[in-house]
Amino acid sequence: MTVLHKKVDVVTVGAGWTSNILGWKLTEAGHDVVALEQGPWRSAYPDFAHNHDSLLYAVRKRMMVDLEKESWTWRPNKSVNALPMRQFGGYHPGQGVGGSAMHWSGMLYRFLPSDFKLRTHIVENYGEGKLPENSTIQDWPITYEELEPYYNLFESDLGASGLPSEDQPDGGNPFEPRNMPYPNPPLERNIPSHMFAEACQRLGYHPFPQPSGILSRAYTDRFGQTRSGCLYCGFCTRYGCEVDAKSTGLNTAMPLALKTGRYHIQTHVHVTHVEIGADGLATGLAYIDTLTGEEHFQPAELVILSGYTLTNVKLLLVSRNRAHPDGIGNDRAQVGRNFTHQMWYAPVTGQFSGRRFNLYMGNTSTMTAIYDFYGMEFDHSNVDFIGGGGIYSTLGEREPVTSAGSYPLGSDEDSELVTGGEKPRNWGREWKESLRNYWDSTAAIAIQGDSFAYRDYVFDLDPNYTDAYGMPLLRFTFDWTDDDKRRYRFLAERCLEIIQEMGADQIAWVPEPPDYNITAYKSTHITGGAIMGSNPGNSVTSKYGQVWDTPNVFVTGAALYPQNPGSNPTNTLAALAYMTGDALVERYFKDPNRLLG
Amino acid sequence: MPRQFIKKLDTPDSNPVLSRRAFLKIAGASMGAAISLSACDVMRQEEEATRGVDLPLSNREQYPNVPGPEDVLPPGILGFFTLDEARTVDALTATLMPGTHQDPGAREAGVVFYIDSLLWYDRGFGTRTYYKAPFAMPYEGDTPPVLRDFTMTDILWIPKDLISRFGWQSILTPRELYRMGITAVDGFATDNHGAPYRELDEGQQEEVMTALAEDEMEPIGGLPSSEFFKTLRQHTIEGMFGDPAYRGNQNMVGWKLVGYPGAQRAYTPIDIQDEEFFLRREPQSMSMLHPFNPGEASHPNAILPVSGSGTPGVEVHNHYDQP
Repeated sequence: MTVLHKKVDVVTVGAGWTSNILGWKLTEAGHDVVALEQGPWRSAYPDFAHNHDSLLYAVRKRMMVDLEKESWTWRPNKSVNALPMRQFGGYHPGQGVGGSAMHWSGMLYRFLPSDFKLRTHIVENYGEGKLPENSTIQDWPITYEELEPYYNLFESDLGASGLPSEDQPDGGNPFEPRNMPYPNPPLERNIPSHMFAEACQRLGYHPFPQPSGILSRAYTDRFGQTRSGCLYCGFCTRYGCEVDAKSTGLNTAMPLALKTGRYHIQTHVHVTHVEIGADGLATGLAYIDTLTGEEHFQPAELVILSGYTLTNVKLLLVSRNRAHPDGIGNDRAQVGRNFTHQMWYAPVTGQFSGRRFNLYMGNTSTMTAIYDFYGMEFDHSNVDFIGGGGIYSTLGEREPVTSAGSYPLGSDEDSELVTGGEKPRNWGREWKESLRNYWDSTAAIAIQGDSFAYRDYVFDLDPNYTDAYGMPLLRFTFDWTDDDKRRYRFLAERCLEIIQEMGADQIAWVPEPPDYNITAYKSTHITGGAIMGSNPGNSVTSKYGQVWDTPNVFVTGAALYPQNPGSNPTNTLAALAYMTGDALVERYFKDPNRLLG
Repeated sequence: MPRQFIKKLDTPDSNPVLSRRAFLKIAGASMGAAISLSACDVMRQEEEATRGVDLPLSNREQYPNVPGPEDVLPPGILGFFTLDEARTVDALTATLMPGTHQDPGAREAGVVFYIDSLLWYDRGFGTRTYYKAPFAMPYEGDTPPVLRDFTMTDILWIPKDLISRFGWQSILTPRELYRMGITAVDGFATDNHGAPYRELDEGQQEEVMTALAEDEMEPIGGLPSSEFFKTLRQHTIEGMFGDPAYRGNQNMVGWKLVGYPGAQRAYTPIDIQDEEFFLRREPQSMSMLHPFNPGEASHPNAILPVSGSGTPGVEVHNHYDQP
């Protein structure tokens, strides 16, 4: 027996940040919005008041999706079976009100103009031959200039911390065109990040402090909401922030939505599929109350798939009827295309004997970055790959329980000492002495590289595994390509030069990229699967996330990205949600069920 | 009510908690809730004997509405291991992270009690785990073997050279892995050195550990023996460096080893640049953490930005106002 609810204007999947943003915009315009969230309600107090528990949050991943109920499968190529991620490894989707952004790191980048017209940029500058074989790289249907006002609004509403490039001498990111300064100064940087900046300057690069979604000081937004600045407590990524210095949906857009009285959040419910009418339009969301097992149906005029990338792509694929036999958005076999992840590695680690870096303080934003080898922003005439990546100094928030395993230097499976020699033993006295002497005297350099789309690297439904509700698990097929490996080697060599310039007395590096796997963390920046494009023949949605073949369904988030640039996705997906929110309020509801031009 | 019994042990080279003092062992794995008065008395003695260990309840008692760490057993009580199993695991962790009374290692940190609590709960998965069939079965060669006589529907064939890229895929629970692993290690030790691992000298223990780590032992439950090594090493890290509330890292010896101050409420930008900071700040566990109270300094050296301080007329304290 299905419980039928009263019809509302809008229903959203989850109560994460993009649901909060759209919920706020739509409820302020007078629409009723219901958000269906699989996790619990939580807020800074009391849920994060005693959060300095590395085992619970960093090791046991308390804020992530309940893997007992649902996981995702992966295989490196189409000739082998896929297996589920049984425990958290490669990526960390969250659950609960506020979504994955509750445990994000706050790294806040805009994509650059060249990212948005990637294919055109490569072909115009280097010719068609530069595109890797079987790649399915395409331009975004939107330019940086179109999105810039929304970047400005979002950064202003969350109180972004950073340094615009005109603020010399230290300098911001000279590769990022901005017409708005950051509302707050950058966060304090740790000791090796200053050393990194100096080394980069000597090498002729352009270091800048990491822009962040974490407040560097108390800040009041344009709606009068005030939050505290960062305490540098060292418990940040994978934790909730106990002082709300880390910006999330819960402390920015959601209170504005709740204030209208028209944003209703239902927690502990799992959306199983989108219901579709005979005319091919969505009629609402079917869900299960995870506490009682009862089936429910929430009818709505407009359905917004605002879950994590993996959730949105799965819902498109499993929601089928005679009008859409292969799923919503999939009438032209576009859903699942362009799976991309992220090449996030620390290719080098340096040991600086006698130093104490205090890296247990601060967070992932207390560092320095360079964009000199980012994306297509440097000359690719003489390199045998496309794209690049940001290069980052050492992050803070180092906890012994999550870092002790990597000592002694060079003992990690894929790493080796630059000076050569036998791999040090990673147990016994060697291990203990290394931890005693060097735990806080090592600094790594990390890269965040582009991930490009290829024909064979796609999402589909797994034939062998199901979730707790009987639906198939989502499967993805992906591996590093030769182009990825060449890009990695190039960036790893740049990292090695920098750490040598920083004066490390002992260096370990990973000269070859480790095989793609789902065991080591690679960022939660899984993108694609429901990509936006210029027409129904090359994409699932328009630039507004409106599904071409089911115009009363919208998709938000990084599932929309045609490919993944070498930086973090949050700023862009939030800016896109701001833009879509305006388009829905100003145009869609005046003439519903039509494609927005 | 489960049956209880007390064992006395006196072996100088093993864990002082496991050997020197009266030891409470409650039979059965499902006993957690039912402990008699006399058992509580023994527990209290145990607690007193391990003074300096942070018990997990203080925050929860003070602030019942604030979520705290998972339920854990008090120190000194074994919930899963038999005494002999505990002594072998204790000896294994002490080989991985050796120590003495003056320079504590895994044994002095009580890592075996951390592992015991972990395994005591449910199947021993510390973290929520997708545990549905089919489970992976590695094969060598070009094609998977054909099973005759019966149909196995609960396995999926995976090329052996790929299996490590998928992370934990075994049908074994951590409880089962430990039971099998301890038996395998003690068997190997007895075959090669004439006694179980816990009774070997340090050199012999290192030899067995090397064999375990480098797959020179027979597979354990179908897994290479190095998988048990990796599990032991990971749990040693967790028990050595997790919060003392989880029964390991007693007296915060793991944090003192590396110079980590543990659960602190805040650091200032001045602290971040100060390479001698670790000399001044004593480590503290979650249970010692000053209760959070916006606007109130938690430590004499910490200046807190104040929630709500952006309102006009309220003085703003944040790090950019400092020299």
